[in-house]
Amino acid sequence: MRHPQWFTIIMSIVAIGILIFLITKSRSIDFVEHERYQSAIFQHLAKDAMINRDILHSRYELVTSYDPLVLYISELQQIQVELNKIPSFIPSNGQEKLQDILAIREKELIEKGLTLEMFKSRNAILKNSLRYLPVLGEEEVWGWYQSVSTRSPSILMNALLHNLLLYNLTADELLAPNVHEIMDELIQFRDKDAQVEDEKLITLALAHAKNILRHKPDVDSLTEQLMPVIANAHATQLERIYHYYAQQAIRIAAIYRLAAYLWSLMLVIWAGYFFMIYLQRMNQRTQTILESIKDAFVAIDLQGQVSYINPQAGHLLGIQHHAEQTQHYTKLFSEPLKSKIQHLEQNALKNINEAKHVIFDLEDYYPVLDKWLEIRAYPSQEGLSIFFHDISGRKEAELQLKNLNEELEYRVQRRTKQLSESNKQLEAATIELEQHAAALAEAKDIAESANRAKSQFMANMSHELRTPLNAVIGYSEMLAEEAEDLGAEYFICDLQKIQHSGKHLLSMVNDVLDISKIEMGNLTLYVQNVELKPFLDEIIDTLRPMLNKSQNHLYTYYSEEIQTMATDATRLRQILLNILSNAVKFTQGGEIRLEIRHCQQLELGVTTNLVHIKVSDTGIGITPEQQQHLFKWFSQVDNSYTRSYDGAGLGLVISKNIVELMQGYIRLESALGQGTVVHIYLPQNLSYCEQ
Amino acid sequence: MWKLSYLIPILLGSLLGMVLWQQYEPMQEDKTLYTGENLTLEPISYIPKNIYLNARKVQLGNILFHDPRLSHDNTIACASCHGLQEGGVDGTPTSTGINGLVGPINAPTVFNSGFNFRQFWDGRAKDLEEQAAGPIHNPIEMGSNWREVIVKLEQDSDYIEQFSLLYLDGLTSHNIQDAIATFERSLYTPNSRFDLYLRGDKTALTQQEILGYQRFKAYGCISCHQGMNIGGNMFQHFGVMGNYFEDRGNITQVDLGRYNATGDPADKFLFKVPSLRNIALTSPYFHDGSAKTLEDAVKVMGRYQLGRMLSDEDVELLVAFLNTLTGEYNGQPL
Repeated sequence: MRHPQWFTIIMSIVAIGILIFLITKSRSIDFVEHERYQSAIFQHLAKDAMINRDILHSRYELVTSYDPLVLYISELQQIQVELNKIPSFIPSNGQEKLQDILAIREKELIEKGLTLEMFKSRNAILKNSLRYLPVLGEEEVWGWYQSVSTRSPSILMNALLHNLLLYNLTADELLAPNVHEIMDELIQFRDKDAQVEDEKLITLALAHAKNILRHKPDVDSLTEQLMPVIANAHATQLERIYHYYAQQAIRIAAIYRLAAYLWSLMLVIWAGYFFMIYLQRMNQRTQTILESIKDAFVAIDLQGQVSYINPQAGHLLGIQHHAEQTQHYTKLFSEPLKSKIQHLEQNALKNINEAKHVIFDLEDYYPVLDKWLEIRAYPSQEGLSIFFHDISGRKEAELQLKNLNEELEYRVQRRTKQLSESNKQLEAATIELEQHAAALAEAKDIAESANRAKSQFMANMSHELRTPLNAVIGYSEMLAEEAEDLGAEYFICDLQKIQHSGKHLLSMVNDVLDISKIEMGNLTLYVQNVELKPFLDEIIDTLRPMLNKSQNHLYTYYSEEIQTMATDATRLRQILLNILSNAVKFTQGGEIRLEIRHCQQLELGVTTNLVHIKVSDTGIGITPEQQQHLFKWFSQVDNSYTRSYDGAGLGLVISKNIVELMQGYIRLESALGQGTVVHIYLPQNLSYCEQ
Repeated sequence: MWKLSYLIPILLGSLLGMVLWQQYEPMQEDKTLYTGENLTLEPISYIPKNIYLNARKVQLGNILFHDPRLSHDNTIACASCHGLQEGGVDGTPTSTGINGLVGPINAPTVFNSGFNFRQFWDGRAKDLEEQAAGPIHNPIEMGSNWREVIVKLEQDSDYIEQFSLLYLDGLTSHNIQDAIATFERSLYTPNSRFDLYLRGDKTALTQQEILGYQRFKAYGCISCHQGMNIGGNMFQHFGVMGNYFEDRGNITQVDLGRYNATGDPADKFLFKVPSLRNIALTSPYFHDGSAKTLEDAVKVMGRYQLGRMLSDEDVELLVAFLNTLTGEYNGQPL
């Protein structure tokens, strides 16, 4: 689960990068641009329609000015320029299609402009003639000819006028032959009968009639040309295609938006998850630290509710740990502890703001628990932290020492008294001497018991020493872990050194404790069945780093006959670790053999099953002189030489004592430079009652 | 774990943020089409009293308009042929350029030229910007080119300062065109008596002039001369009802009109219909300057364009009407 720091950083950058990418994609639609283009398309259609409307208006003289047409066509050209700026979010195939249609539209527009110019000119002429011809028809001159011809020019002119007006209103050319017929008649009349003045008039009328005949179909066809359905279809197509691609782009952006949404949701959940893990770990760590404290510890909040009890406290105070955490403390503690804590709490609440670290520190005897307890209370923002420290052992030892001293004093006094008395009876020399020897024997007794008291004291002190050591090791371990989290690599090394030193000191203290226990005759064996193979594997695993460091090979052999052993596993492990680590310690780049065999011993007619453990190495070896001191207290072989090896020289003595306690024996063979062999014989089934 | 409860508002907040995130709401489009707004109007509309233009550009364009350095030999300015005191023209049938070279065509007025749909008699320039470059490059008008003009103008620190003030890229041919065109757009002439009449002041015209306007409409002049500029928004053949050029004789290149610009035979003798605004001031008339007086011009138009025999009374009334079209420039009558 734990990744290196760079991996986490890269993962975060990638995740945020993906988020940014998705957000950018989802915001790719420029809606202002979209609106602009849509509006341009709409305006384009609208202006086109307006031009068409005005053309029709002009054709039928509903509008008499061409200004709007000029305006619209120039606006249309501007819109065309606007349309050529296709929004960038339209995909490229859409862009191409739109450009194709726009090109067609552009051509159509130019065509339209040109046709429109033509239309304007022709239409003006047509309009002029249409306006003037009726006026000509009303000229008075026509009446004069009524008597001359059957079809008088005035009738002809009226017929011409009517026909032309009708002709102009129709969309086809059906009336054109009629007009031509009447014009022919007028020409005949002009050539035959007309006078000079009238001839001019008729010519003029004919010219205008011709004008109408010529330009009316022109204008009509131009009108038709100007309003082709196809052009409008192209504009509609433009709208449709743009709409299609714009919608497509919007849909794609929506998908990206959804993806970005889901992704950011995932990121939030992810971050939340890691935060939870972090909180859990913090909690776990606090828990572990609290549990590792050898003192009993109870936390009480400001309302007097018990918020935490560590297992030691549970054990010490006889409380079910965890189960009753939320109870009020008065329910947990019995008298007189209860009243003590009540007093404590009142004090604490009063003094919480004062800079007093320890508000309460007392040692007292509690008959309910049959223990001496030292109680320390520390106020905090959360309430009160109370430590209970069991000092029964120390108190007992103190008491014993005191008693012994008193006894000694008392005895010395008594002896002195007796001596002075015996002085008085000097004459009985033999009796006196006997009495003297007895006194000496008693004095030896006293000295021995004093030595035992010392060991007892040492055992207690060792126990005292272990508590702070545990704190040192525990906190340095925690600090190293935190330093690793913070990435402060350069601290880790130092912290590990503290930890190793602590551990080393702890093992020394343990050794001292063992020695004192042995001296006191206090060492108790707890016999249990041991599966030999996993047991040995575990020991070898423990030694593995040392082996690798000293480049030694370890060969193990054990006989199939021995599967299990009934013995004290902890002590056996201690012995084997001592012997094996010595072998490893004093051998460089050689081999170490661990052999376990079964053998029998016949003693006083009883056959005992023994386990023969043989540990041999190819190390520096030991001279016979040195071997004599090996199993004595505090003697590492050669001060000058072995200072390069650590250890207080207690291991072998402790091992020997334990082996002997287990009713076995230990033997050592060695020659300088030839390696060392240690034989250990232990009973396979240790009886439960010993000593 | 109650400690994680603050994650819930974060989750809800993010959810809300996502929902509101770039919701597309289409703008309310105004889809009403304009209908019938110009059906009841007169064929001629009045010139607005105010047109909003960049005043500094107008000022700069004014200076350029009067600057002879735009010509090759520093003798001819735009104003030489388009005198603002002379109704925007030079009063001669055809204009004289550098070295006394005489051009082939009559100078049209610069007043109200911004309302014309195209520029030049043959409409070859689509706007005033394009037009401004024409005479500068014409060898018999100003006979110069942009490089020469810019080199000359760059020696004038005032120009450099003005141009860099108004334009990001300073003194360029494009910006010269822009300044001149902007100035020319400011040459509009509102408040002619006829415009006052159109705005509703029925006493602005005399009875005779109103009759003239009615004949103007009835006789078909209005077919071509309509819109705000009374012309200037379409092309028309010169000689619809008669062959004007044959009657006049001596057909020149410029007589071919729009054909010179398009090369389309149908466009022969096709000309931009000129504006009749301030027409009383811009004699002689037509592209060839052949009509010395308004009466002449009206008669020619009546004969060749309308196919009408105009009586003396008609001519008198029409001329009376045309005389009401003279407007004001900068609040002063032209």
